[in-house]
Amino acid sequence: MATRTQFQNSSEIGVFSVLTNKYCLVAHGTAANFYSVFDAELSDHIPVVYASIAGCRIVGSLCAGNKNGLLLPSTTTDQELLHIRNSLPDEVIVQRVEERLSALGNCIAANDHVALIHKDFDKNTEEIIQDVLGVEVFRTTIANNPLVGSYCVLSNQGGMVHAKTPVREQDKLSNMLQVPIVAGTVNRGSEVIGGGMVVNDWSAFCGLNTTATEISVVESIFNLRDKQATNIVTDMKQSLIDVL
Amino acid sequence: MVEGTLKGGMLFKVYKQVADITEKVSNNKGSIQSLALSKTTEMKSVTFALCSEVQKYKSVIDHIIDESKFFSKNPKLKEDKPILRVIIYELLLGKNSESNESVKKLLGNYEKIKQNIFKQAKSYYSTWNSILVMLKIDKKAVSNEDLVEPTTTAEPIQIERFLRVNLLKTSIQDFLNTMTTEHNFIINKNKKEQREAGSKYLVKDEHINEIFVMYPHDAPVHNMPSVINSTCIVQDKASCMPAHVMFQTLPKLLQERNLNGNPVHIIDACAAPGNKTTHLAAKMSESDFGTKDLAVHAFDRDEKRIKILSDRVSEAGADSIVKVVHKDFSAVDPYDVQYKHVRAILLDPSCSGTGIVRQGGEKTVTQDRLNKLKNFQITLINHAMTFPNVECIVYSTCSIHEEENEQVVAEVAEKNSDLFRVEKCFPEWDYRGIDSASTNHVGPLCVRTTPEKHATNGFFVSCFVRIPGSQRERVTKSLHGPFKQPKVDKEINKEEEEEEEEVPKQEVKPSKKVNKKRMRITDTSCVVNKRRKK
Repeated sequence: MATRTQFQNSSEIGVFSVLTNKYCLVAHGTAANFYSVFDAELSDHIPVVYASIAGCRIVGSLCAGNKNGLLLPSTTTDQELLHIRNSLPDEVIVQRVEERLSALGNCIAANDHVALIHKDFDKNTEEIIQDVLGVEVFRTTIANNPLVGSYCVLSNQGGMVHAKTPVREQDKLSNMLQVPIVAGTVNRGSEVIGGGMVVNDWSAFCGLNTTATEISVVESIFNLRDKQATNIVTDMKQSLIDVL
Repeated sequence: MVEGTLKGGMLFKVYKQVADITEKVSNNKGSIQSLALSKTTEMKSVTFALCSEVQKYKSVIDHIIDESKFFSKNPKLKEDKPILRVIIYELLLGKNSESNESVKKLLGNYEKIKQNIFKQAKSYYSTWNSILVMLKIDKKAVSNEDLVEPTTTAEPIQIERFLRVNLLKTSIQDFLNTMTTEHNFIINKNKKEQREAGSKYLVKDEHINEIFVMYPHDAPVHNMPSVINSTCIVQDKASCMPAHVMFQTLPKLLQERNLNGNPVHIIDACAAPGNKTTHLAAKMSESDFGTKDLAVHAFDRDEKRIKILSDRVSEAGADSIVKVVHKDFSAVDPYDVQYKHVRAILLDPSCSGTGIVRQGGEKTVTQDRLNKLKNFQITLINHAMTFPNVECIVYSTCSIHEEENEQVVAEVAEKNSDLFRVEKCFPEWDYRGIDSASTNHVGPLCVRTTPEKHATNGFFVSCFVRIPGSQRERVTKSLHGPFKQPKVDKEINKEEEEEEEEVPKQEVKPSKKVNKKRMRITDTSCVVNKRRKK
């Protein structure tokens, strides 16, 4: 099910949170309202963790992860790294990355099997992404924009991309990721999908401005209607990827 | 392809071999088969398999290398491109690429190898992989196989499988009985009859009595008891033609010239591996020359090939007729008493082999080599024509080049116009040689086959017949002895040696080499010396 929420009067909740099948990071706010929305929805299944990166609250823009691991920018302090490591499940690898493009969240869009990355990423970073997140890595753009993390959101069920992505590109992405892809908007017409929402295999959170139509698109593409947080995580996607 | 057990040094060795071989093949310096299976190669089967796979995916791999800009970033490693191809094949396309674990293991093995290029593999793996996936998506390919251009992989021309009944061992009727009862073949009257998938069929050939087309063409034959005990022989229709042509012409000729009753001997000048020889022997035992003194003298000058030849001859039960002689035909004295009854000569000399349909792409022959072969072939025919009692010479090649076929025939015919003329052979065959004024219109008298039309290898057959009563003065030996043309001989001989080894049992002749081992020409001086000592 998709939930609407906002972070201190901002609908860009993707900037302030990271959601995967194994954990959820949420930024410190002045009020606990934002946190409690996530907590109410997720805490039965996965840890919901307060986090900051280099003292900033824009955790969603700065870090990227999936069920296998979490990548943090080089600006992360040791203390923050330690805190996140302690809070996440043991099997999740937390790794700091020396990369010039430090807004990893904006530059990486990943599900548990595939990651799309910024074209200009360093070779070493690419290798680290592959190892830590356990994914196949593709350098792409979304609608000619290199910030793949901002303009697309992926889960193991589906993906949503910038509204102006050509159909051909959508086909290509959907072939590459082996999941259905749809072009769409959140937050009443914003095409910054990655900034406006977060999603995992059984839940999604959208900005408060998101319309009912947008919500219904999100729910259908990410297959969220009547979903239980059961063992979706370890489902049969692996076999599909092997074919690829 | 390379099993997980292969580690460190061995892995590197195999890769290095594969890299060298594929590089040579690309430069037309040999075929995968001959290079990978040559004596110096270690782990032949692995190397061979890997070579053919790498060669098959070459365009894909090169695309991946270019896209990843590997060499613009690592210009120092440019020389290692062939080995990089092998690495990429193994990581992305080979068996090991199918699971993450085996790729990891492979990368781990690479790390232990000193060469820098192997160290690069790890950091480039994901880039290469994504390029491959993108390529597949672009080409709408489901599997790796789909990426390869169909023109380079699947042979567009399918040649048929022919079985020749060995009349020395069985009769056609007995053969058909065995095939139907023991091997479940169904006998069809003609090729157009309906055939069901899953069943095996034999169809009698419309031209040559003792051969049958087999369907499906890829049915396993080489381990069939009938093939193993040589009651039938897997032999292309085209290569059955020389003997067929000879026995269309020879009996008629002997009849006309009142020679019946005299002993009949035939020479097979370049006999190995021996399919044509045994075919001749079988044909001979069938026909009635009014004499019991029949023989086939089979010559070959290569030691290894002569062994294959004599094995085949005894397997086929032709020992009583065929006399295998390890000798260079051009060194045979035509006035030797042993050969005074020689009435016909079958000449199937070394040629470029361009007619042979084989997997693994086109090969090209240089003009230089064609000219050399042409000269060699002409010398052989000229030599054959000095045998005093020869009535008929059949000349054949498996080449498609006019230089080795019509041009040779025309040149020889002109030079020996007082002795021999070109006979129109196999008149019921409608696909004739190339007609051209420059070759004195000998083309229509000769026969050609082509894979497109006849589903056989490309082949050329011609037939010379002695002009009645003509004889030439006995020429001194030195003119036709071995000393006149050892250069061409030696070289071609060397190439042949490699060409036939390792694949003795198969009908498909492996490739011949181009530009191979030029240096050995220098060897000839010592050969000449040796022969003089004798």
